[in-house]
Amino acid sequence: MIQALIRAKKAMGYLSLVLVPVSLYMAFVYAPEEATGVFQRIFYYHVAAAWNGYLFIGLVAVASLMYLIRKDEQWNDAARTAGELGVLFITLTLILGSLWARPAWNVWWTWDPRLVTTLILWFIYVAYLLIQAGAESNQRLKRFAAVFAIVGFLDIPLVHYSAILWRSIHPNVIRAGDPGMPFEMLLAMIASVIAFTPLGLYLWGQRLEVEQLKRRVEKLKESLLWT
Amino acid sequence: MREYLRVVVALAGKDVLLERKSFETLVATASFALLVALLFHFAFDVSSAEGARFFPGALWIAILFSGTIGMARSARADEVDGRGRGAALAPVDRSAIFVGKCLYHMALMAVVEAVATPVFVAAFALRGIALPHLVILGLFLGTWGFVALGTLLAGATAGERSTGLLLPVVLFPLLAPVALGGVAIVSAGVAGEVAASTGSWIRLLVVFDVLFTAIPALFYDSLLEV
Repeated sequence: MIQALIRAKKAMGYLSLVLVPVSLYMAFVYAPEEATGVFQRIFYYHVAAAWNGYLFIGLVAVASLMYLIRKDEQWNDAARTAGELGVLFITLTLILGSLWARPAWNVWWTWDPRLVTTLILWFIYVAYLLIQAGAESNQRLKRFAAVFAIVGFLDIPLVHYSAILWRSIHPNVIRAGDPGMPFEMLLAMIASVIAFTPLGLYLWGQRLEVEQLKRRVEKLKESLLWT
Repeated sequence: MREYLRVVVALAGKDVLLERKSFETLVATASFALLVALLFHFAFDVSSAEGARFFPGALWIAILFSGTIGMARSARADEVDGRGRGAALAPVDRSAIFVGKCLYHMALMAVVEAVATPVFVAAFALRGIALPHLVILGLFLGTWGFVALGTLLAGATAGERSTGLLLPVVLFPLLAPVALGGVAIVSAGVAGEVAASTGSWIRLLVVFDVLFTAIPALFYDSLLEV
């Protein structure tokens, strides 16, 4: 499974090499400009980053569960590297969202349920990376990281629901749900989401391969040390 | 089931017995909770008119901060004295160790809250609490979820060098529903205004509590293995 991901890495790389320029064209040339100006075009990358972020957070939970069941180190590597990418893309989502919110909503940040959930999500998986950073060769801590990832994943719907409940008693500045958008914009958005998925998977394959090489170096070191 | 409960109560009783020898954790936790009330007044200079607005949030901050320190301390003591390992060797279901520890932490926090709540009522100059049972329910449901996750994370991070900083950083993001829900229910209880959302908050916290007691209990076994 993980081997297959590493093998598919090259194909993913070439695929994104073709698709990312297409999505750039769609976002900057093909899609019409909105009344708010050029800032609106951030949206295409904001959504793509968010999609990748949620994808990798989901993959962290799946890989963590596999690690707890199979107890295979490779799954822990997969979970940790997916966590790194998840945090990277969620960070991008938050920054891009903030940059877009300033011209569109006239604020850098607002306590809209979706924003709150994404922020908490970011905190949870930064914490996950902190646990992993201390784990190194500590099996117990790695298992704890896996349990934490699963607990964090299950927590997300509850966080989102509570953020909705919390805001419902306050005046709602921004309406939930995006305003309907022209077909060209929707198409450009879908294009960037499709383009960024193989890019994310390519990065993941790259990280997984690095981890595998690290392990091989360790093994070689050990074998040379004892001969 | 009866046997399981007996084991859980026995394990919790052991911790209560140890605590009764010195009351160290309890005194440290409770006095820290009270200090939060003081700091809150210094920081925000709360007038008596605003007391009711600040009370639920300040109380919950005190509970979450002091409880985190209390649970970290209790887990650390288990680790240092080898009590955790001793319990792991006992021929009982591993999840009972987790539930027993939760029960002990729950008792600890119940005492802390019983001391802190009246002090906070006085400190924030509340005229009274309209629906005391709702406040108690809010505190109970919130504390349960907090203690369940806190026990899991404190136990797992106790052996680490950076445990003092690591625990709040990993615990607090998960507690967003507890912080929001706990404050909302206590606020409703203080003001005596039960909104439609109060029922939703109670249901949300019940789901949170059951979920995060069951999941750690399920995986606690794999965390104890060395």
